[in-house]
Amino acid sequence: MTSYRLPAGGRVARGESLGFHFDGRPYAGHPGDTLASALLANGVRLMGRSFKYHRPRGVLTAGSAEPNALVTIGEGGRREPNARATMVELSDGLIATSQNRWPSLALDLGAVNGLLSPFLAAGFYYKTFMGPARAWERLYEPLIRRAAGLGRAGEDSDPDAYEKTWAHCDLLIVGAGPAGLAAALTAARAGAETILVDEGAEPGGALLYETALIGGKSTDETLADMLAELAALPNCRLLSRTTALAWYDDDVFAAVERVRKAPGGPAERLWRIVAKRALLATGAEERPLVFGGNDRPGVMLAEAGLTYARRYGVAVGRRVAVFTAHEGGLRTAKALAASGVEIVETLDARRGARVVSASGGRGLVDCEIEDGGRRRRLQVDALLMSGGYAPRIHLACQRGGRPRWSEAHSAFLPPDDGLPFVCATTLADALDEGAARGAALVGEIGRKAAPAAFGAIDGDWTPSTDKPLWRVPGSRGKAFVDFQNDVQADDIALAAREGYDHVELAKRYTTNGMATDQGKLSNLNAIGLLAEARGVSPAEVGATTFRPFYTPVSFGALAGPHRGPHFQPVRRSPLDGWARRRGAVFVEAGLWMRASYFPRAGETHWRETVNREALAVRGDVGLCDVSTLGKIEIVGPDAGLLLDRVYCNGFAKLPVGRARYGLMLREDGFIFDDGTTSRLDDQRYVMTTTTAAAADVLRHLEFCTQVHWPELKVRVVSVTDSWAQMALAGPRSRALLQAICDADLSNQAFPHMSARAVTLLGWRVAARLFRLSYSGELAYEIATPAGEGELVAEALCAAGASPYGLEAMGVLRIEKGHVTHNEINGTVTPGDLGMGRMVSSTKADFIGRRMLAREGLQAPDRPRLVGLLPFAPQAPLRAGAHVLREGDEARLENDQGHITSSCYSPHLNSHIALTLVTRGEARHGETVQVWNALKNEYARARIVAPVFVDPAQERLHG
Amino acid sequence: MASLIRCPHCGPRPREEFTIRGAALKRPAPDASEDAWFAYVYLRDNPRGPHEEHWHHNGGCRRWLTVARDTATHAVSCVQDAGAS
Amino acid sequence: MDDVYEAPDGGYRLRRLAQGRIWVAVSFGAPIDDRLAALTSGRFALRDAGPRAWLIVDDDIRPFAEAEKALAPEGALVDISHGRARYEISGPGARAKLATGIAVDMSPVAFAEGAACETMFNQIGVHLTRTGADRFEILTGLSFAESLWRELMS
Repeated sequence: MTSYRLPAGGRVARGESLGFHFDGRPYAGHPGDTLASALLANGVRLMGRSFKYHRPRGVLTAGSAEPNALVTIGEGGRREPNARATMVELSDGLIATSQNRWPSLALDLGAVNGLLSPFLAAGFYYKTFMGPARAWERLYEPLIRRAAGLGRAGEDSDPDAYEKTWAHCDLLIVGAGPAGLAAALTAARAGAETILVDEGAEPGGALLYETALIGGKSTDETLADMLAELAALPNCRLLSRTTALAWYDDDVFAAVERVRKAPGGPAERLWRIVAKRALLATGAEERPLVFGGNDRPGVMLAEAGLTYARRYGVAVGRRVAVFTAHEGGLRTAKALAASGVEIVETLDARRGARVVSASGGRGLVDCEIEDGGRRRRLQVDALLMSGGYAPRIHLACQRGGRPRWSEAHSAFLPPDDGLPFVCATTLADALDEGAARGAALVGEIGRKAAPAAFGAIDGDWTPSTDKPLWRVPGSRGKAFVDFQNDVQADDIALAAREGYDHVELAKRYTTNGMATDQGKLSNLNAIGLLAEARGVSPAEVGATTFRPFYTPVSFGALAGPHRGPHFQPVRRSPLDGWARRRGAVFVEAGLWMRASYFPRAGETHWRETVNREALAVRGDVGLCDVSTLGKIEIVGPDAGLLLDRVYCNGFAKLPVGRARYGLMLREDGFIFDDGTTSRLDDQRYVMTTTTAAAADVLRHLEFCTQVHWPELKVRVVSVTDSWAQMALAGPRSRALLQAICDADLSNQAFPHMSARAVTLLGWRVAARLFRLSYSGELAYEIATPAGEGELVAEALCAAGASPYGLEAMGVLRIEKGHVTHNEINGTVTPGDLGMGRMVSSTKADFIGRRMLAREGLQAPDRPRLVGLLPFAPQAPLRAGAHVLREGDEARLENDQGHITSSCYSPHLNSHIALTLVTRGEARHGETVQVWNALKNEYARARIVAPVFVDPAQERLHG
Repeated sequence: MASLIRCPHCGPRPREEFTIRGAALKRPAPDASEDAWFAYVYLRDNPRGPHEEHWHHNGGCRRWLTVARDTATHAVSCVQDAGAS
Repeated sequence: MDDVYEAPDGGYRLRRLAQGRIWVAVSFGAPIDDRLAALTSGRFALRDAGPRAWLIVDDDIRPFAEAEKALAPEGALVDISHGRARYEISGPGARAKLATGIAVDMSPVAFAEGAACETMFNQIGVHLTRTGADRFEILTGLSFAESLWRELMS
């Protein structure tokens, strides 16, 4: 294999060799190479196949805008499709494969699409593949879908870690080329906290291949000096391999750093940077020329050719021609020649020398030139084209500002209200403007800075004011505008002819600029062609909207460490250890893990366990962890007043030492949450909420105390995590509790709904004791300091309490008709749940009072809470099933309501359900149909009162 | 992913620390008319331009704030403690 | 969950501290700063927790009932001692590790010794105090203790 490596030069480490594979074949390169430079060095020009026509493609650029050389890197979980070969740093053992070709890159059957190209012009799918209609879904769409796309995503789990971090700085500089480095030096020398981000593997930008001398020194030397100084300044952070992706509101920037250094370290790091000031020193993008065959492997941007020579020591060809439409291209040609690359000819379009077509199957062989009216062919293996330069304004436009067309630059400049931006046409300007901007920006935040100064430039760029050449006249063959999406100049003209001549319409009609490169090389040419077709200036055509991200971002970087089991935090109850030791099966309840049931040896089905647990509570005594319920302490002289205003029933006169069940309404009159609030002291109450609504209730109380009634002397504090809370329920609960509690727990001394501070286990545990019952049995809720919960729970279990979980708790409460958020679903009023009498008629004001009084919320035909007993006791009644009158068809007009909660009751040996039924309270005894729409099953049931066990509530008050 | 709110108590904090309740309207007097109550609970203007909202800084000081935001440009012109007015 | 964690690259060290006494102090409107200062003695005993709210983190303080009487009627106390996990993170890499989850500017200038704030470490609410040049104390709800410890590990 012949080598295209130049005998000397480049910043690669020639002494060291790295082995890699491309499409299964082994090659070698050097540290400092990219995959693209290493392939070129090995004489590999064919690197991919284009999206639509499967045309052979090679690398077009040496940087981030690369549209052609898209490869898949790695295998298995590390597989990364659509990687730009120009940005892949060569590493030992790298495995790369080309994409979008079958069976091979050299012989791709997809190339037949090229023959069909007249039928595949822009917008073809609006005009073809129309009929027959059924064929679209069965035939066309699957075929097109399989043909579309470039790389294939991996399906294995990614073993790499990803990180995210915030950073703060005085000045953020995007781009570590000459301007950015000058700004960074200026700012950092003045003591400003500076962050400099650069997309490249090495900072330096144009200085990495520039030939000019700065103050007599080479750019290599100057760059080394600058970097050394910045590295020594502790207030300057230089992030290489870091792409600034987005500019958000409030000068927050997102950037992604390609880390991959230490094994086990993160592959990528997402930076969110809060900058007091920011400067874009992102340089300029070279513009391709539009002529026939400008996509052949071997046709590249001129600056790319120079970069490969000067930075990587690679000749892009043995017979290289340069085709330029502006002054800068001539300079590049000269610099290339000086680097040892054979330049056979330089063609200057301004003087009438034009390439009208480039030919060669899998690689450039020759090109056709029109020169002063004469045509000739020139044999070349590389053609370097340059249409001019356009500033990279992407980030500056991401917040919606419209870029401004500049006739002088033949390019769009950032909007006036965009980010500070260095737009320099010479190296001297870049350095000076970078330094001046840096000084000005840190000056704005109070730091005096002297702009860094550099020596005189020898051999600087000459700025050109040449008129732009949008399309080479006389061009023959497919002339590409958007290389990645295979959009040709003809397609743009077609869009204009068909009326899609607005820049946003033309983009979508042709798909120009819609590929992963987001039009970095194609947008400006398309705008120019559209302007010509419409006979207006590009200023009138305008540019399409710029949006984050600048380049594609992996999901891994966006997720950071939050994936799999760590997707969100897990909250664990203080009794979690106790539950785990007893073999609990857990269930997710929001962020919490809650014990669902406690299977014992020999139990084969969860219902068996749950039945046992429920029977144990009503027959003996059970212990359940209810620590996850929200607990809010309400303190202050006006605490009672606040409670009066947030509950629909009265609380201000609740005596100390008493608990009360409360219904909290929304301002529209519907129930928001329910809970129990106890008065522990004159000015101290503690409120419990449901687990699910805890955060919302706290927020609501804070709104009431801060916004509605800030004059009230009251504060609310969440104490959910401070207390372990357990329910001890069943006929033996008092006996067990009395054994560990000194206070008198007799029915007279501690009646139902008492609330008091007590000590347990001698003086060891300072607890709060509440005689409340969710199960309907004689029961207590014991709140201990979180760290002491397990001690008390173990003591109670040792004395014979059976642990029970969420499932059994659900069975018990359904048997008693106690409601949860199944019933409190946002559409029910207190009256709907049979609690209409709880609503105070004397309180002057409470949340929801006025809207609850509306006719519709008091209407007699509203759904009301009832119970259901199935005729076949073993037939499940599903929550969500609808109730219909006997004989009625299952239609919306016949709907009588739906089941809100259901379970199997081991006490009735039957399935039971709580249900909301229209006028339900007047229909006890009625036989109805229960229709499960999901399975289209019917069952017959009888409407009963919503309480199935101990309706007289004798157990409660024992 | 980004955008910062300048909480008057905590300084600039990311958007994720806040929840938005909605338009900053004053609760009517308990005996105000039915229409006033209906409007307060259900009716909202949809202005293009400056708009005052109640935001909760639940990830920070847990104070309710009145945020004056331009609905078209997202520019936040003023953030005050909601109890301050 | 261990009591100490050393980051493998030696950048920071994570230590679980004893909960100690943690109270929320609130004022109903009138200033109580003087009385709070008189109650507490330790260097980082009185920590800012928002407008008219403080965290008192002080093991060497008088009993709750006494302290509350001293603040009444203009202020009140809520005992949350048992409800918090308390961690110390120290070392030259401590701030960078915290920055992976906290968006507040924790530079020594913006967040000096003694500075405190309520904020989020990703999705977990935390109370953060700088207790040294390279040392911070973090309080979080006890139910989040395990999750936060795991997030703070490398």
